[in-house]
Amino acid sequence: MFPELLKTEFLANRFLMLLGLLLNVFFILLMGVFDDRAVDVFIGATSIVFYIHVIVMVVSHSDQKITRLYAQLPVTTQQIFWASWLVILTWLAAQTLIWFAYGLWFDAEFEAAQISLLLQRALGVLVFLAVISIAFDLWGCRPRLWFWLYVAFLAGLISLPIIFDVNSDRSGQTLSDLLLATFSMSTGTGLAVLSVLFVGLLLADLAVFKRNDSYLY
Amino acid sequence: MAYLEINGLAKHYTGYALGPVNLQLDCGCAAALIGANGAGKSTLFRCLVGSVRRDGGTVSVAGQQTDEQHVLWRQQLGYIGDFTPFFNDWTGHKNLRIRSQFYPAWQSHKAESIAERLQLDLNKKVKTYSTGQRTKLSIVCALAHSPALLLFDEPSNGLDPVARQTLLELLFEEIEAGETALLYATHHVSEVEGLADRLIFLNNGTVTLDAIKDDLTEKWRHLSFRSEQAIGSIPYATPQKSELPYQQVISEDYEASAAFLQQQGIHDIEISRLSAEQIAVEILRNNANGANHVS
Repeated sequence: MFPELLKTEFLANRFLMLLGLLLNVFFILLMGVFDDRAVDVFIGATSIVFYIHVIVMVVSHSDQKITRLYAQLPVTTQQIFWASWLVILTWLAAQTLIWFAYGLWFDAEFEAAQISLLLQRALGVLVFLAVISIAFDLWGCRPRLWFWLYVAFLAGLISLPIIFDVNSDRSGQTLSDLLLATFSMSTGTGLAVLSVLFVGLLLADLAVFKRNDSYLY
Repeated sequence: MAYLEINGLAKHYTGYALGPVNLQLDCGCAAALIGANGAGKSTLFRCLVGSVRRDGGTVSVAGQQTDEQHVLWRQQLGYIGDFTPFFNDWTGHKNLRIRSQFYPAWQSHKAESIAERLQLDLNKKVKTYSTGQRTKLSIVCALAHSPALLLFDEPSNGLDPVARQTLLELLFEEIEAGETALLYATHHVSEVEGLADRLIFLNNGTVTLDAIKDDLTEKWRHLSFRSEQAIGSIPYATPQKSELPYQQVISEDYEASAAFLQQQGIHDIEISRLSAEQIAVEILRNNANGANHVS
């Protein structure tokens, strides 16, 4: 029943995805007004739009209680999980292709070799979404303590480097430097690190989703 | 073959526990699940469907064990919960079309026919539907694939009297066809009095009584009699509000109660039948007071 579920999930999100593509076209036209047509500026603007769209998708799902709907159909929780993620992956793949096409056509300094940098950006988006998704799915698990521990962990991850940075007079040795270094690694290494991180987070998210106490949302 | 078999189903929340529940419904059986608010009816249904994880016990539907990895048993299930989710931006038609993909036994003409009988306009978007219309659409979804097991959790909520009657007619037809078992949760026994052949009472997460409806209506009677003195405890009977010398009780075994009264020298006893609704109210009232019943 997975193909049927996937088809349903794509049908349910097709207008949102179409709107996303139209907004990309709008941004391309808008970039024509500016002198600086660097691909980085375009990626920045469209990434925000992508995030907003994913939020709208999640809110719409939650409002209509789509997970509850799927949980009553003859599909497994694993299939529900993959169907949602495949929509996001397809959507982001399309977005990455648009970034690439934009770079080739509008950014004079863009080279085909920079595709791995774009992939790195896309994987960064996915890692962020996976981190947030785990939080959502932990909310459905019992005891609720797990959710709060995870939130505390994330808060620590975000705040500790800042605290260390403020208190440290040495540079290049803090956690934030380490994270920044990850993103500015040679493209091959950065891609590998982000890929492993994303796959790890995705599997963790799947494990959490499968252990949800209730699928009534 | 049992179309629904529940063994030791349990679910625990902070301050509330359901079960262990043991229940068996055979083909052609129509059972009403009766309980006060918060008795655990919806939780039981959600655990059966799998939208809430059960903490223990086993459930089989039409001979198939229900587990999370092999979910084809859900094709044998027609379920109406307290809220049936749909894609709100799609029409009723489109929602049905999408659902039909998941059920090989789906009969489109049956779905159309049920919608017509319920006077449901399938061309309208679901977001424009009233609560009753959403319920009607969920009835179509639950019946269109002629499932082996129907789990209906207070399905008449929000339905107008005509639609409610049509729902009962539809369920009669399903049961008559003899390939379905029905578990129908309700507060109003009168609603399913003609449909249900079994009454199952749930109180604080536990099945307190599981009885054949005819047995109950045969045994439970209202007894009124005249006695100058207050009669103490009458076996199987619950005193009703009355003033001496006229006294009345409701008995869950009227023959035993009447025999006791005759032993006390009271021979002029007026015995009248009770409706299933009256019996259910009495049982729920007694449940609330902590009494258990014979079955």
